[in-house]
Amino acid sequence: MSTSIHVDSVTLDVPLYQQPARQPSGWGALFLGAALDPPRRRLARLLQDVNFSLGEGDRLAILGRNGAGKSTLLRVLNRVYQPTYGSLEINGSCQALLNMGLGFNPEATIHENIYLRGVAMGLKTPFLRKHVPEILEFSGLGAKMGHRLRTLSSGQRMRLGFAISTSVQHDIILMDEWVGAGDAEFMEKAKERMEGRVGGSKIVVLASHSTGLLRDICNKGIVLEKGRLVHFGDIASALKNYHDMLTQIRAETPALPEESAGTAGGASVYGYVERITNQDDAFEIKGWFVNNEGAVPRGIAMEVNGSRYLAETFELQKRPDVMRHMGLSQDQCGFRAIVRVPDARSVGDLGRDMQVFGGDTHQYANTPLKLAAEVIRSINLPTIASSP
Amino acid sequence: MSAVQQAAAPKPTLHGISAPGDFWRELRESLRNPDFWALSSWLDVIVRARRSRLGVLWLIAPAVVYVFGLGSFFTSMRGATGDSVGQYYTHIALGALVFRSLMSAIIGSANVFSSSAAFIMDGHMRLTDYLMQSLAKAFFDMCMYLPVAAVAVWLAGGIDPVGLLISIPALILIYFNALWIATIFALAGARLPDLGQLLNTISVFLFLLTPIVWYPEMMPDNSLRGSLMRFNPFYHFVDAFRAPLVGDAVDPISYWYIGGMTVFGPILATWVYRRYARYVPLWI
Repeated sequence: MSTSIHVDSVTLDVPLYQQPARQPSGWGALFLGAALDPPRRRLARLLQDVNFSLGEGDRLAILGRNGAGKSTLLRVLNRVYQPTYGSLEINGSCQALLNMGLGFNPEATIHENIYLRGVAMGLKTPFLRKHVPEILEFSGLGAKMGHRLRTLSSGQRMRLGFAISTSVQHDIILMDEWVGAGDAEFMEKAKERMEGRVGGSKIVVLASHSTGLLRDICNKGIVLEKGRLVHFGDIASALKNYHDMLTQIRAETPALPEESAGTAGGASVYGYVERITNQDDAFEIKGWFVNNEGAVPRGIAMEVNGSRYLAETFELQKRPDVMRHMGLSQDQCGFRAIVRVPDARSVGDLGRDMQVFGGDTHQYANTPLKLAAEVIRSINLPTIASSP
Repeated sequence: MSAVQQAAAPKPTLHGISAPGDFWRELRESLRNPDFWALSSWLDVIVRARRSRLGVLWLIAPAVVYVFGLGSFFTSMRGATGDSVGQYYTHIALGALVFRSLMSAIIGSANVFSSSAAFIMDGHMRLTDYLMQSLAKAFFDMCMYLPVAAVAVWLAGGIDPVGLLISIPALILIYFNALWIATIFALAGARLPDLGQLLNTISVFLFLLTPIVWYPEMMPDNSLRGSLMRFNPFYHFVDAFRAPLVGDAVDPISYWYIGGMTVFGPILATWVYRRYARYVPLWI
């Protein structure tokens, strides 16, 4: 039977318990109230009338703001929450990569924990026996096999969880944000493994705030808002819908300080450097970028041999092609920036470790932008060849 | 992978996947795939032992204290019943063995879903696995009483061999009953988090209400204490297991009591499970 997911008018109500909010008359009343007031029960509708179908080869992006119901929908798909109304049909083996650190017993050894976690995932003991060396090798914890789990650092634990969770290929993968953390070497392995697993699975459902990532991986998208499905279509149209929604919300509620603080960290910028050219030590960088909310950042910085150089001039350019690709509401998302790198005379001098960062301001540009193939080629050219 | 059906009624239908609710089918699957619950309960037990230097000895310690500590204390208060000290130890050991095992199954099951919340939230939805986990833990607890009981029996100078044969089906019957009781308490415990605390509190009372350190003959049939004892289900389970072993006759009421529970309990558990199992992820 071919792999598929059909979600037919799924509605999910859950009981929530609220402490009655009242103004305590003093300290005594505050303590007594917290201890004695029984929580009030009411139903909350987390999902309302959600419909969509996925077939083999579909990669679905779940878009939505915090609290829109993304994780809830993943849990419904993972059969944890039973829909209150509607029906759900899933054909194919399904794996959720929602929580990597789950279900370990801190006092048991690493070896025992591999078994524990493995059988919890429904793997069979003989299968695990065969795969334990491979899991230990992948997580780089072979030497610690007999140690207790609590002696591991959180990074090592994450690596172990990742190695176990991804040891089998499933038909359907459910993911809440892209999995991956740890040191650079492990990240590289993890990325490769994840790409393999995602490539090998027939259906992927990925909830993320990172629109760039979703654009890269997914071909379809749904947009959730307050538990309702507001859009289902191909990824570009879903991104467009999502960005339009965010633009509208931004217009209605001007300048929420928390939100701008969130993007100032720069973790949410996505974009490409398409061309770097130079005149002496002034390098012109061209490309495009966008943040998670569909807005365009304003900062560029370049890092060469560990030193950071901020953009001296910066201007936005029209990029209708990018606007269509990313489903943006405006086309001013291209940039042209000039960065001075004192000791460099050619693009090749920048070195292979060169990185370009994007962010809200030049100072806070912290997210590395991707380099287009042409740029990678030009920085890999030997210095002698490019400088006469 | 069944055929597609459209949901006409508001009742949710799920195809190709198993929604929790069918108690016996899920139980069958749990028994067929014991890997998870056997391993996780076993790890819990040995981890408890591993944290300390004396290890397994600590697991046996409560049994030793119950049987030989309480036993020798109460020997002096017990008066003349004609039994030897060894027989009294055997009486306590066998009683406590059944009582502790049942009680730990019930107390354990009251929190078993919330303590396994991480697994449940990750989609390991065969809830009978968690019930088997708490029963398996109770079984390990019981095993810790076995060496102590063996010593007590040796002190008493042997055991009724026919009773030994009867004790095995009696134990199976006890675990079968523990299963449905655990099912109901686990579901109730998921909804009402206070249940575990409540059970812990009343377990002390139940221990004293069950003829473990005293003899059922000490409670006259027609007294209030006697009827309170007979109302206590633990009495009947303990009696059904212990009486044949020490060569006594089982109280006839116990047959009726246990028979009734064995028939009606599972029916109740099946219904409760079908009705409420799917709410467990929302409650915890």
